[in-house]
Amino acid sequence: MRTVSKEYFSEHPRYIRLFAEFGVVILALVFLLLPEILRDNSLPIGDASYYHLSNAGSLSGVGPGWNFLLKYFHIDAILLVLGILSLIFFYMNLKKLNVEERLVALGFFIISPAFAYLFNVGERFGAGFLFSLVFFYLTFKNKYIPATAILALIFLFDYMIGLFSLFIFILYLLYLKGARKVFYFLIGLFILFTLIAGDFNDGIISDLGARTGSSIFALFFALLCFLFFWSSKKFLYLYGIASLLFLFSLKVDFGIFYFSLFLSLLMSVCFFELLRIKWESKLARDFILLIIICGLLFSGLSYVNRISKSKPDDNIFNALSRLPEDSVVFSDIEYGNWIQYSGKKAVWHSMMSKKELSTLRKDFSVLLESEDHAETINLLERYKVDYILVDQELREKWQESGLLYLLRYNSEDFRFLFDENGVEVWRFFR
Amino acid sequence: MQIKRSQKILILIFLVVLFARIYFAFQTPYLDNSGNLVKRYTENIINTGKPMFYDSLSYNGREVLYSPLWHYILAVTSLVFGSAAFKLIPLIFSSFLVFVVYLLSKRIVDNDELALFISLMSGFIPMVFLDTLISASIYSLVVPVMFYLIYLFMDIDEKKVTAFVAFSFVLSLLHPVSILLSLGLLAYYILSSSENLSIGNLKEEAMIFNFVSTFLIQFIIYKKAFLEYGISVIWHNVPSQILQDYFDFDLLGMMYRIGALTLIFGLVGIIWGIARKKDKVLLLSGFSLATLILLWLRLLEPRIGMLFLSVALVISSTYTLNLFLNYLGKTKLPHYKTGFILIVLGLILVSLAVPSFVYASKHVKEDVPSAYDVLVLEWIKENSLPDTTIAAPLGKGNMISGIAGKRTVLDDNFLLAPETSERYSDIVRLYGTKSEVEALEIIAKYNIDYIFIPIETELEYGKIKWIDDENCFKGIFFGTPKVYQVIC
Repeated sequence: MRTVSKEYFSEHPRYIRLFAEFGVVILALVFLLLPEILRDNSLPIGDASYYHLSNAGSLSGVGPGWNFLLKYFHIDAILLVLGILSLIFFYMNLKKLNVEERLVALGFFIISPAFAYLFNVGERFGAGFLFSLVFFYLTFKNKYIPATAILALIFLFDYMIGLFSLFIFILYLLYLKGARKVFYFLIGLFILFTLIAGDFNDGIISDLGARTGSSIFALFFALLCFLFFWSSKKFLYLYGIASLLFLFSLKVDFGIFYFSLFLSLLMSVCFFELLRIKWESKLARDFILLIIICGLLFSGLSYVNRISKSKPDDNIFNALSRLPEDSVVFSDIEYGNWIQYSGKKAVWHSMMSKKELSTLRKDFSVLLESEDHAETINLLERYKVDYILVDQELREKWQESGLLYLLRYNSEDFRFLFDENGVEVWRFFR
Repeated sequence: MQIKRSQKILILIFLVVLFARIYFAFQTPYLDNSGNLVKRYTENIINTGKPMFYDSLSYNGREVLYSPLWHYILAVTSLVFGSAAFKLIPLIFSSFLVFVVYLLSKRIVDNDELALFISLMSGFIPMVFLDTLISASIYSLVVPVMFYLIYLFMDIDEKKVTAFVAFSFVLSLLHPVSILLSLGLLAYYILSSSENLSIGNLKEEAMIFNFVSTFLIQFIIYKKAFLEYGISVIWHNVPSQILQDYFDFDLLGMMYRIGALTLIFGLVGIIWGIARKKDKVLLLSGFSLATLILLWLRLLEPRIGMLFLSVALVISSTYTLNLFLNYLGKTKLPHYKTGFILIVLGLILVSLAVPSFVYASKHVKEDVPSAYDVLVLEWIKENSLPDTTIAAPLGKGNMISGIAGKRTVLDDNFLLAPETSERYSDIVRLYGTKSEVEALEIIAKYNIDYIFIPIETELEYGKIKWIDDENCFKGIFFGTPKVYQVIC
């Protein structure tokens, strides 16, 4: 057996590159497959995927393209393929842009929570994201006709991603043509639009509990590098773009995916720059870089672990399967798509429009907080509720007041039906 | 190897400080409320070899989150010292502070006598003296380690980097308060930059390393808390009703607990150091400034903040005292110089030692369970079912779970505890209500089997009337504390 020594590697950079490429492939497979392996059941993660599965095959609703695809492909398989293709196109984009650090950037993106979310939770964004990468690649190669076709496809998955891609495309063209004034005007408009439109997201740091977010270590690393390299012009441009995307991700759902993608690129450039500069203590340098990598890995893995343990579980669907078809079930907004998927009707779900949800939220906050019997009955009757589904998580969320209080003490209008391993179902008599 | 005179004196100071602490700590065989929690977690390690991450007694059973390194240290040492380790080991560690302070003071002024005097002062800082006495407190190790890191950082070179890296890891593994050092170093960097002083590349690198390693380790250990509370984790789930008092900052109390003269000399040293752009004092100033800002923003519990601040002030006072002594040398009072110095130094020492001894004596008498408390709790331990729940005020929770080995409704280990605000308000209502129906509702809610009524609770809420209902409550003990069993 031949022993491959350290010297051998240093003399053969080709092998080091091969070794790194192999490592990236392994890492990608780990982050794409691990949530499914760690999961106690084979159910898709989250609630949005159930909306698309309920509408599988139809070319309507939110993310029609994704709804359509899910009829013909298994959700896990398609997510895996999308994940791999996204990485390939990200790599090809970086190669086209002559980014030397592309392999490390790829590695950083793979271990980001955004990647884990995109290609493990069956939301429409994964497909939109991949096609936007394909679109950018074709644009960089000046193949505008196929790029336009791809852009049309993106609109089928998510029109907002489509608009975002189109905006980037316009900026790119303006940059190429040297129309700096219009370029900066559009960026100004972008900032203005981002600031005034919509509400701020609840959080964008996954380590602090955000649903989708960035790693706190990635942000910390980016900030640290800014302190080191803020005087360099190259870095100022990169940080400018990162700041715009950061701002965008504070407002728009899918913004965090593009921010994470760009952050990976920024970190990889910083990483090599930190290796290049002169350090007084090599021990400190090595430990700092090692800790940063460990931190990024830790964030990514803990996020993977978190999503693998997220709902739904079998108990919810077992409980729902015991209820008659087409009956109206009231539960939390996040349970709405699961209720619909199981063939029942939900009074609300997370994929409804903001306008629809604002009235519902108002009504149901009264329902969940008020102990006024007449008001609660009135609301439940108005929404034609037949059953109420509560589990331990909802009991903690809703507290022992409002609806839960009435369920416990009002046997005239509500009757406890069954408890399916912690998932309680109550009948409401209209 | 020959021991120098100053080293002999330093060892003597260490022994004096250690024996003074031992004298007070061993006046009682028991530990205080928080000490009981440390003891219980350590005993779990001794019995099972593993740290306890699910506490079946606290809050009727809940997850706990902590770094078990300190409990492992106590577990290993208790194999040699037995249960005395819970007092002896923290006392030894906290007394090590005199060596660290000596090293730091010597580095600041290069005056052996003065450094020895300052190290003696550090042995009697009331805050440190009290906090490390009978509570098996982790701070007895954290404080010396943190100041040793400051010492290493002060004149860091290639040789010291390895030690700095190693101790940074140890400190981060010990306690989340290690963040205070990182913030202190950051404040030092900002102060130096504002004074146009370059701290050097090596210091910058060491600082970044400390920052990165501290945050990574805290994120790994407290991942669950960060996910649960987000950024609010800094208030570690303290019940909203006591959040205000919990972080309340009392300046007068601070003067007494740190020592009025130490406070004055320390502050003068810090201000003078900043004005004269003295790098070493700037480091301590940065650390003190970070502590003060955190205290002011109520992000740090005053008890803990003052613990570190007091040591930093004692060390900073080295600079003031050195200036003072130099000034005296230049005056026309050479004949009285020695006497004058002795009076001033004596006053400083007295301003520290007297409050230390007074507080320590009071602490040992009041904050430790009395023999009767222990008798009552041991009776419950022997005569009740294993899953019994005892209702007790907030400050007695750990004592009950530690001595009686029974479940409690709440205690002051709030992180990841369920519904702390609700439980706190329920317990306050239980002791304060005049309605038996309301009390029975709370009793049913938490499956309470025994009600523990210490004298402090009776003084605060008055006599509990509903407890006299003999159909529902059976009196077991009628002294101080009273204990009633719920029988309905």
